[in-house]
Amino acid sequence: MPDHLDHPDRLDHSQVRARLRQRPPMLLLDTVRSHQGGTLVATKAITGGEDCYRDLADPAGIDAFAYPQALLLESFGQAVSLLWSLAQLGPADEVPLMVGLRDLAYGAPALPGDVLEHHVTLRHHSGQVGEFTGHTETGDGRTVLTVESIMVVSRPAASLLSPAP
Amino acid sequence: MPTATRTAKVFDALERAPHSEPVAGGTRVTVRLPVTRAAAQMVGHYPGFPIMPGVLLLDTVRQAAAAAVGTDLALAGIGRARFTRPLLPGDELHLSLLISPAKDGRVAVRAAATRADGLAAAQLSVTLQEVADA
Repeated sequence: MPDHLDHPDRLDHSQVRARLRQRPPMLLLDTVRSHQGGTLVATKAITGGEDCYRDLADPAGIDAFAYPQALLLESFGQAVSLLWSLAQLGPADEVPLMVGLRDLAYGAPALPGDVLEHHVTLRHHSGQVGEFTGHTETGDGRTVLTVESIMVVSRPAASLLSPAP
Repeated sequence: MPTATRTAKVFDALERAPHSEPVAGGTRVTVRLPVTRAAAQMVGHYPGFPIMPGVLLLDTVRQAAAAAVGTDLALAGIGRARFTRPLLPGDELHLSLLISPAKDGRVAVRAAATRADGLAAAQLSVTLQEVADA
């Protein structure tokens, strides 16, 4: 029996993909390990085969494999989007967009082989606006990111279409 | 053929070295780039309605500051960031950075991003630190 049927607070990757609008190369979340009310733990495994390592010069020391900080934050933001969806904070046809960040700190670098755990908590929600807080740690307990505040605003997908040329 | 890199990368934001000049309080750096430089990432963000991810704007600030300083820089933290308007295919991003010294050898960067139509797209306040040699 698939694991998620035993644990309805968990999502496998097919269920994550069904709830996120991002697609490769910007789909940066694998599973939801737990979800309860306004909290969520989501995972993303980093591998050395990812596109960000494609042009890395050989030979390279392990420091060169630090996972790009932009992608780390995007992955965290996608965990926020999943919590928005699972907590049913807005209509399904809307997309939560990141509009604000405050007091974010990067910690130890994340590396291929790490499984990132994004711990996200809803702090406040009103209408189309949500504020979340959280952190990201690796499976062996290294904190790689702390986010005091991330704000999202939900927008109808249709309103984001590029104007016709 | 892409140039081999010293560190992992997401995309190349800069077509050429950014313009920089000393000003009161630090160095002013200006960059213009077409949003299409992030086209490969926008394919998946999002299919059918591509938007330049805000995190790539953040990485553009990092890349521009690193080019101006002349060394690889990594983000230490983000004090505050506001993303006020989406950047869409066809948009050109105008970025203005003020780089100034910060504690412990770090650099502080305040950045304002506007679209070619003059409307504000984002404001960011970040701290960067030199990347140790790999």
